[in-house]
Amino acid sequence: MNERNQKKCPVFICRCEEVTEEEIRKAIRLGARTVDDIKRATRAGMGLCQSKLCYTNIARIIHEEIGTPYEEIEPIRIRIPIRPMRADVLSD
Amino acid sequence: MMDIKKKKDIIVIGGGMSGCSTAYYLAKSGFNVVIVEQRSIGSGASGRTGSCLMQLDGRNMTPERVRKRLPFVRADVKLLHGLKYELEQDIELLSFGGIDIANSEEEADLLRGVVEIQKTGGDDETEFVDKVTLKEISPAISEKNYGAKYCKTDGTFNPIKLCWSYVFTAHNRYNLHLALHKKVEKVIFKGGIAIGVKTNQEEMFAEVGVINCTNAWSPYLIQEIPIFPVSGVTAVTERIPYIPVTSWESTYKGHYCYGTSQESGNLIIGGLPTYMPDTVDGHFKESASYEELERFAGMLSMLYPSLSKISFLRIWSGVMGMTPDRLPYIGKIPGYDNYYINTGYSNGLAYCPIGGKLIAEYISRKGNTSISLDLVRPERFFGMKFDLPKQYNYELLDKIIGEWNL
Repeated sequence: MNERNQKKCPVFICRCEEVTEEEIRKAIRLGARTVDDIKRATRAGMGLCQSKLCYTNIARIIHEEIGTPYEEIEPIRIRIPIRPMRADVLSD
Repeated sequence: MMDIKKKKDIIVIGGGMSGCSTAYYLAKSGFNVVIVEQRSIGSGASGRTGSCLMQLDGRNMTPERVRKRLPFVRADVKLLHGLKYELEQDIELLSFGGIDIANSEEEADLLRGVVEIQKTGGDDETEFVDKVTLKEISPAISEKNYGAKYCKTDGTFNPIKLCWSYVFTAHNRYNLHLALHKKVEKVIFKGGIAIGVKTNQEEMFAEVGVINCTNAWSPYLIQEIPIFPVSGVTAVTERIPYIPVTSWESTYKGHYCYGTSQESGNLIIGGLPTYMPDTVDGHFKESASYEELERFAGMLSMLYPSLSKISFLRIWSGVMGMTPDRLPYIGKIPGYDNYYINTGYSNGLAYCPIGGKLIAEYISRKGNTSISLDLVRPERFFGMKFDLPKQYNYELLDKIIGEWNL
């Protein structure tokens, strides 16, 4: 999808944080190379699903922009809790 | 993308708050700048901090310590407010205040004393507030407190957004480029003049200067300037609607914790690792355990009972750089030319933005800075050896540094 269409109908790659494809490509063109770099530049992957839904699409965009082989694109580091957990449940 | 083989004016080593701020103000002054960073922008302490803007944090205060810090932290807050109009992206600055909560009558007396000390040192923005006033400042706070030390100009901003805002703006308007995922192995000298850096991939050269903004990693580059790496743990919750939850510090049953709410609505809780790392390298581990998550959840539920049903999303760790007097090093490194330093931050939000502006002034205005850099001169502890216990954490180190009283 070309850049002018992107502004009229943005494609949301990270649905939790509403990060568009355009923002992700901009970050890569500035020097972001890993999913982690893009997370810090755009917030993609910081939401409720912690990149479970958007990681593969971000990896595809990285591959399209700079050609990194898919097997070399690491996902975001998995940290606990592996899914959201309530404070009162955790502190029992 | 960018032609990194072209000679640059300035190489900034480190892409955290201090590196990005330094690079921004130097690019704004007309220099051709490149940030060389071993990972990505904001991947060290700047991307892991609890994002509390607390100008005079902690309880180890003397009037002298307050007098030394005030010029920097007041200028920092002023600078941050101005960035709203200057940078292309919002840094999410909120000035809802900062509190240190008393959980007993003894703590309340202690904090009243700290407030008096701060006032004696010239701080006219901090007071002790009782339970009733505290409820107005922070509506969700529990009924079980004994008041708090309250600074009305404290608050929060998003440090990762600060880094990327500085970078995006300078890249679009001035002459700033990034060299990410390149680890500097050493600085290249020619006749005592810093002329560039050797990274794990190539050599890069700079005509005007090389600036060390590597914080906890600085001892790998320059051992003579004492910086003590020390880790902290941070956790984030899901987003909630605005309340406000001010920036806060508290100690409960011996455990120090702090936190804030961000403009996005996420709450942040921070604190110390459960076990002190065995070695200095252990502070670089960057992961947190279930014990910390449990403890932070307990603190949140205790201090803000109405928020006990919100969910934690993630917990991690990061490493910052403490200096023997908690003030950074900003200036020229003794014994060399064109080799500068702007690092040694353990309260980054209150110091890094102004620190970057000051080193840029130092270089572009030939030493004529808007705040005197005498207190932060790099030579003040140069070559000195400090006796630290093998195992330490932030709290222990802060206490030891307080006792040295340098």
